[in-house]
Amino acid sequence: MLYRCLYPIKTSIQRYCTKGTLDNANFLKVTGALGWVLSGIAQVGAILLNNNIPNKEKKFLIPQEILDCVVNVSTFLFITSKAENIGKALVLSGKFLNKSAFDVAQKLKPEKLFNGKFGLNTSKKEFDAALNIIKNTIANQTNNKQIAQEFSDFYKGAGVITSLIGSIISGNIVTPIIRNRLAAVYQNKTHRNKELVKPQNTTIQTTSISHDTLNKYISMAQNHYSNMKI
Amino acid sequence: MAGIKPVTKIDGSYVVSPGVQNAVKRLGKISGAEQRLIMGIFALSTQPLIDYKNKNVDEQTRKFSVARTVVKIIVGTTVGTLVRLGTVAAARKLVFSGKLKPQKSEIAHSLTRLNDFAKTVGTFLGVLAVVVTNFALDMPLCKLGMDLVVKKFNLQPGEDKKT
Repeated sequence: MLYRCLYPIKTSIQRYCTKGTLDNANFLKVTGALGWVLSGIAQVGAILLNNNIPNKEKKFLIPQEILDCVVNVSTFLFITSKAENIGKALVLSGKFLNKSAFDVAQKLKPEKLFNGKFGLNTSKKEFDAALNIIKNTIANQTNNKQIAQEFSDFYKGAGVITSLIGSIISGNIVTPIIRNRLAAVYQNKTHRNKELVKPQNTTIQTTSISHDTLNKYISMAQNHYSNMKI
Repeated sequence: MAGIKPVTKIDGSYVVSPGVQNAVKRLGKISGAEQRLIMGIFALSTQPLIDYKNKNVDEQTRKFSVARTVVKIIVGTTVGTLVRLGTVAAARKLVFSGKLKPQKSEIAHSLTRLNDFAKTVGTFLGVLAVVVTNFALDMPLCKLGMDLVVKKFNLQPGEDKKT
């Protein structure tokens, strides 16, 4: 019974991971983004389950957390996708090559083998189609499938490396800068609200309690948004 | 000549040596654990600096923020890498015992590619495990680490100053 319930999950994992093995750059990109999303869900869960945070503050912190997650994921996906395309385009246009593929190109004339035009917006389909044509040409020219496979591995490796560079730039440089700016916006907004709600003629005790509580949550939000985990 | 230099420019193409070619091929099969470790190392070298240069908050908050970032990266990278290594090891057992099978014969009939498939399954399971480890390991360890750092360096979260 349990096996029957788990069977569709098992099949899905097998299918997805088979695709992932054949296209590691895309797999790492998607799992990286999934990691961000799950981490965001965990952070939202932590806020929801924290009894020390009043409901009023939760209403403020949860949308912030979701917005932060959306910024992280979209920046990550955008930059890594474009970076991956750079690596793939460099290889398929013949600008960055392994020795055996270069030798084949020289025999054939490079413009005959690498005649496609690729850029940041080239689709995965176009890349795959071009790779297949070049792989087949290399295999036919050399009568050696190994050389074609070497070229294919080199192409995939180049895609993964540039995608990894993109994810490093995105996760470690672009996202923290955006996050810090967002945190500053949130802080300023909170300060303005604090000024608006600050009573003019109240006892010292009341003002002190309100100020401390607000400061506590400003610090909490500020530390949270300037230090989100990858 | 491409064998001597790592990269040689010939007729408008950058041709790599066999050593670089192997490195590119190897990096192309990087696992999630390795990716997490690389990301963590780079995070440690850039994020604390970005936080320290953040002029939107006062000096005390900046110090606190840097400390928190360092603790979170160390904890997150250590836990993330170890969890993924664990799930890759578990995935290897599942794949090589036939409980999980690739759906392409070209992978199933090659030991190297079957190993790549196991790494992929392990990485995928590792990402799912993050939901649990975030609560069970990352959060308490980060709190513990921060308590130690705050005590040792007498840090306090300061107030922001920018209006």
